[in-house]
Amino acid sequence: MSGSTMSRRQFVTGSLAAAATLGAGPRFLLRPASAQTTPGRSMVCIFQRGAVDGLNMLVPHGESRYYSLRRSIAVPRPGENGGALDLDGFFGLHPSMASLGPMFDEGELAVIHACGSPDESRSHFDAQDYMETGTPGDKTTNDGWINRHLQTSGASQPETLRAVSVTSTIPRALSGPASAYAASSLVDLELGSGRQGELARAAIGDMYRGRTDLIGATVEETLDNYEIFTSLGGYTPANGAAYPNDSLGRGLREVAQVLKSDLGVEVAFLETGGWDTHVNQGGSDGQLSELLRTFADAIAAFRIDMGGAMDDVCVMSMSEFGRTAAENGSAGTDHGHGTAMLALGGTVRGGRVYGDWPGLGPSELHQGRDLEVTTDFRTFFAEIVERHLGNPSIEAVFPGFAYGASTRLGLIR
Amino acid sequence: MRSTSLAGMTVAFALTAQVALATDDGPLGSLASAEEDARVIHLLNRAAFGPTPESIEEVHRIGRHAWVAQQLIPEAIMDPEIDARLSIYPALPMSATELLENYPAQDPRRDEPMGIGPPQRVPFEVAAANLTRAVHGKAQLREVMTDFWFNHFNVSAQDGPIRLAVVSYIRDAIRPNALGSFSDMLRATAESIAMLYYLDNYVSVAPGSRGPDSGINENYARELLELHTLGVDGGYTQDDVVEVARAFTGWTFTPPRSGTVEFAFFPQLHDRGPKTVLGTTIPSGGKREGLRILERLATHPSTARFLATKILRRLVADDPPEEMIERTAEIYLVTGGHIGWTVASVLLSDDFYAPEHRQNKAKSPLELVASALRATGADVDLGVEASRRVGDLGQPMLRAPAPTGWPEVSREILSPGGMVTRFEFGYLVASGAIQGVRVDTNLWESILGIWGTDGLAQFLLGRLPSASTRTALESAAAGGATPALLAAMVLGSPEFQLQ
Repeated sequence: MSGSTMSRRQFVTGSLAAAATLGAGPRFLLRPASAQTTPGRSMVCIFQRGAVDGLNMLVPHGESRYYSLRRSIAVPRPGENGGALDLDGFFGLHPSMASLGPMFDEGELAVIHACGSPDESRSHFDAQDYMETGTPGDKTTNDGWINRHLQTSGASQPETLRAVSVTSTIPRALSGPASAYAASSLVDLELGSGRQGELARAAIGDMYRGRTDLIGATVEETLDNYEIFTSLGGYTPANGAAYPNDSLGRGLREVAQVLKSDLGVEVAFLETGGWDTHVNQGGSDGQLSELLRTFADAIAAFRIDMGGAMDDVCVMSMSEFGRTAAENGSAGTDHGHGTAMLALGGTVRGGRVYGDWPGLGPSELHQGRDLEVTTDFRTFFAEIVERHLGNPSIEAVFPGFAYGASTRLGLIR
Repeated sequence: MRSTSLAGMTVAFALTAQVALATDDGPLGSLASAEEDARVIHLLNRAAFGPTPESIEEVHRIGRHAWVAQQLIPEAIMDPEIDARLSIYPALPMSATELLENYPAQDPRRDEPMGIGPPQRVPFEVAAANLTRAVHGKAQLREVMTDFWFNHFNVSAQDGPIRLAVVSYIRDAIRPNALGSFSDMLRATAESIAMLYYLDNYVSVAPGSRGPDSGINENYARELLELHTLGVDGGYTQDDVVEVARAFTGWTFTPPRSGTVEFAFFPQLHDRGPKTVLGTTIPSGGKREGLRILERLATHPSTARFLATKILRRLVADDPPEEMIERTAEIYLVTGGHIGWTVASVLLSDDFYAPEHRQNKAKSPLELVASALRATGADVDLGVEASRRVGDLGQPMLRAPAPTGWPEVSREILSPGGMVTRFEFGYLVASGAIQGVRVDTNLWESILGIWGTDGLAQFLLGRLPSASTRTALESAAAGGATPALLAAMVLGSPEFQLQ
């Protein structure tokens, strides 16, 4: 990347004036003494947009109220027809997530129940924003928590591509001064084939070179990354891993390829939709069951594909809030509060369900209707940033959040 | 330089009205002045979905201000051609009852499709029709503002009754009011099946009126204040949200199993208690409570400022100047919330044409697709595939996932990976590879043969390219780039990607 043009991140985060004052270097490089992350570690974030029903993903089969609140959509107890896959005698995985069962048994998969935001918003986009900026209740935050992690931790080479998102635009969690690359397909870059493709890339370079605006900086990154990603070539997943052919499955397959090829990528972000199950969500079968099946199968395939490299990877799932404890009048669930999140990887102290279980009794429910939040999502995220990625600057990544040894879940080895 | 082919020449002359004006200067003829030409292009980039040879000629002929004046009264613009083009989408004119009959949920056990097709087919028809209007419609400003207002009052036509209700939502609530009274549009959206469903007001009822656990749902009330009118900093409180939600209890629709779906107010589900909204007591009055609140919100100064900012963000700059915001909000208030006058005050101002406001915004995916089809003289026979391309570029039509709609500012539209898709899209158009869209791909070779790469750029951009684009095209041509690739490069140039 040339030093003469301004970088995209400067346009993304601030005015041209600010960029000019700082000179051509990225702002994060000007920060004094940035911490070094643990070499080789990476984090794969999967956002379940639309608010997954945590109570049917991780079923509290040991609580009888679960069954009285959800007469038509409850997942039966383990051992019954279509029953939950028991994890610890109280919680069970939804039966369609069976592909993740062995990973829990082997101690690689952990579940955090009753996890969520201290903010009470039941608005999808507010809550997603808060979960991505990492500052619940504060709408003035410009950058995302993952970007702040990148800003406060040093890469071995400043211009290494450290963060990718398999989405058509940069998600809020990744937006900010530190560079991130987003594309709905990371490796499928085609600007025409053969000689015509070369001519196209040369012409694009000629047309945009030297521009001191946002689009100029964006195209410069496009062309830089083109070189990187096209050098990867074709890919066959290892160990017979079979990814579902949906956007999450295809995305995780690309992430596996990118992580294995040692480009210096430390963070990958993916998203999956359809979780806003207001109507006919189903129990052991049906709408949510199908969503959970491909969700679990994609993650399981990724884990199998990564093989031994999984020692340095942590996959984490998140969703903006949970859903009402009781089913509604249309065999679905409405916007709620606490939900369940997953962590999978070699550094994860798995085989356990984390978090205090608040219960489903009338006085135990949040505002009398939703699963209470007993683990702030930042506790979960911060522990991965600090303990897995090795970035101690939690106060910068999650400003205003009281984090310390006493609040840790002990989730990461 | 390619040799001139007689056949190609014939095609070129037959298919573009503009070529009739051709002189030695280029395929668009000699232009009045560089500055006037730039202004015309700028106007057509913002108040229309980009220039076509015909529209450039028209604006030059009648003048920019007269063109704006004409566009402000879309009802007076005769456009039989667009009616004919849209006649292939059977859902568009249908009533709710007809849609339910003709687009039923399918029975998986039957081999034959029931009716015209499943409900999920309908949003594809509507998206295709919207795209076709953006490319071929003569009431361009109305289409621009229809896109703007749909995004403002976003509903996602992915699920439930919205798949069918989006037909009436755009046809009856948004498009007819897009340049009219904001208050009318606000009410039309409040009473629309699409919005009642999307923001859950249809299930918001007086506590206990529909079983022991029933009660209000704040979703619509919150978005009404935050996204539709006052804006997040517009001066309302959480209590206002609750009071507004209470006022709108009972606003719902008849259940689909009744054979039709239409707006209904059920007094037995309405919370009859007193309400105070923004410090004013709302007298108990059933449905009139909600109407009163809508009226009040539509002409509130916070609404004026919020809407002015958003309109300017679309028409002028990602971060519009404060002075323009104040002036535009003032016009909005003195005209009683008249959108047409408010938009006109922007388009007729000198600031609109200020150099810093030209080429300062990235085209949105829809703007890019529509403008590329307009520039290439494409003929959209069936818009389904072309409208899907808008989604490939990052903003699937009618399917923005959140009530905020799609982002409008360049920094949220452009991404490094997304640029690849934008360049590839240019090639698909230039090589005629989009299903349902006819592009005369022989034209590029004909134009190159006569006028070279400068002429090709001028044909597609409406004016001469920048120095760097010119050099890039000349090198590519010298290196053996195909005519379609050269046309694609013009569509990929900064001049075309920006507006």
